[in-house]
Amino acid sequence: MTDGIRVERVTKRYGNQVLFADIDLHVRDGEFLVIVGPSGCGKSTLMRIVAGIEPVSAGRVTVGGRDVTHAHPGDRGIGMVFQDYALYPHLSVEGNLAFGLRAHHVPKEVIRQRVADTGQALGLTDQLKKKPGQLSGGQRQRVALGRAMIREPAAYLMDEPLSNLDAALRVQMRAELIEFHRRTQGTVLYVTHDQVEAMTMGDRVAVLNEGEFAQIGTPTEIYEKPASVFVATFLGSPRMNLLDATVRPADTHVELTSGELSWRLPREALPADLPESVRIGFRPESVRLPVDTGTPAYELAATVSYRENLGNESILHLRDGAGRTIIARLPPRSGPRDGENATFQVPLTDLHLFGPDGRARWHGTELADDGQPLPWSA
Amino acid sequence: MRIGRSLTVVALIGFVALMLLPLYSMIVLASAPDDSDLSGLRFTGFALFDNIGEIMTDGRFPRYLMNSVLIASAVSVLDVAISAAAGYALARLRFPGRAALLNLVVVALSLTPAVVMIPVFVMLSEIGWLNSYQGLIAPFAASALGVFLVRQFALGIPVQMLHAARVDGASELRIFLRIAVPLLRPALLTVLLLQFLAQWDNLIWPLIAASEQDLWTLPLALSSFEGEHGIVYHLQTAAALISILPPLVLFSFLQRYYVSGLTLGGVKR
Repeated sequence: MTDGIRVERVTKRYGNQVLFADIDLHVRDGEFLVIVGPSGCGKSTLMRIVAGIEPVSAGRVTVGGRDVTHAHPGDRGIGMVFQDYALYPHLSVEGNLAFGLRAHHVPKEVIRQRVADTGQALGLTDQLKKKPGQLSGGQRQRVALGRAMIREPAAYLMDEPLSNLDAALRVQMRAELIEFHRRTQGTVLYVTHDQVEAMTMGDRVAVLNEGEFAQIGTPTEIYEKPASVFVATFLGSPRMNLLDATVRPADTHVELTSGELSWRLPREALPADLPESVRIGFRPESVRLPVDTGTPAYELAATVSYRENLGNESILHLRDGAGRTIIARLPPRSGPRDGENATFQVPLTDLHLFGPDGRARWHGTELADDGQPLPWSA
Repeated sequence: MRIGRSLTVVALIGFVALMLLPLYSMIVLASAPDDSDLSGLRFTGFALFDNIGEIMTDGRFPRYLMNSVLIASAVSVLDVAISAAAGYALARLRFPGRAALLNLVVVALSLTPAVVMIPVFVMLSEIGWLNSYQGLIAPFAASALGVFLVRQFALGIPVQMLHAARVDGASELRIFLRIAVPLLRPALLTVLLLQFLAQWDNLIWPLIAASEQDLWTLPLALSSFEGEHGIVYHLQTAAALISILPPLVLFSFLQRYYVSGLTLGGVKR
């Protein structure tokens, strides 16, 4: 069991409709990989294909190095946690845990031992005789985890297990799942539409959109170097600001113009083949009140349309000279009030440039993290 | 306010009395030592147990009672088994022709029994099943109503739960027996009760299909209850009283499920 989960050139069609074509994904052994995407992007279907609940139209699925493309769901070496947990309501916790072992005709003594061990590992020893309906939300999740782990699977699949929980319980259950992964070191493929779950739980995140992976990488990579406008705007709340801009190369620098804004970037920092029209992206937290940090930052004069005070932060809806809306995230109780004019800064290292096709061309973050002296520090 | 409530109670008592009057009348007649007073309002004596003893020891009544129990039980058990399997499959398994089969069930649901009686009679006559137990059981062993009722109820079983069982490695048969059947219990008991009562009361089919007296059931026997000297009303009524007891007992045990089965609430968690 050293290979995790591999999805190779998998295609899924419904009639003439292609949900995804030739898709590839590798969940490494011991890795927690989160597939995130908007509803209808195919993420749940992909997981069901790995589980064997949904047949593939073409391609191959392996779990723990074994080809399971056409294996029965019960013979794939996977344990699965479902949305709402899907516990068997008429069976006790014990019965729920033992169901899979009984189906595989495991001897009674072994079942008793494994149920006891699993119950103990998950703190369910006192609940074994209860029915799922008598358990708290947290205990139900533990039963679902226990049911998945009792057969010692090569990999775990989790299909939006937290999506129907109330906010407080969701935070608590998220922590329990992370703890579960730390302890078991199991390979986990996790599907969610919740960007917070994606950012906080995954070793890596795979962003799925319209049947294609828009980007696969660590949460930091995905957040700091989004591969496309879709990824940039899907993750992060409030979403990234995007402004249309024109690129005009000069001798030593490149001039980016967007409305009244004009930004100069050192030529050697940018790719040579920038198209003439691009979109500039920067996140709300990159818009800040002027401070001198030594990093070039570009000034933005704007009027505050309104501000939302969230207690721990304030979200400002700004309107610039060209009438465009820009969202800024500031510390609480700082900055201008409704209707006031102010000047803000956006640091160069926080800029992203996207081509007309939506693909990322350049990230200011690259300047900051490649260890080279910044081009303007000479 | 208080007067209104009192009136309501009085009215309800009146209705209950009205409903119980035939039952009372039945007990009066069944307890009568002879047929001297047939008004059914006054006890002329109390010979209920003598009457019952006479019925159960004399004549063919015990045989009819046994036939009724046997046929109603066999039909309802078979119907439950078939409805469970077919209803679950129509609701929760994917197979070619499922929609067409479901439509067929719904069409069958709309047919009155009288419409199919003659074709079924001809079919049974062809295979020589008239005047046999199987001829009284087989035509009712599968019912469109049972299949449809279970199917509607089975739609309440979350698909996810069945997938969970598949991932657990259970075969489709195991999923049906260990997951679906327990969850369908209210619907299955409803079908059991409905079908048992329907067969217990079934007069027309045994009348058509069983001309041999050895195969007669209670409704048939009661409708042609005759002693050596013509109809003996107090004995006939006592027999009728016996005949309402088994369904009454069954109903009192199962009515809890019957109610929840009819409301079709889906699966409780």
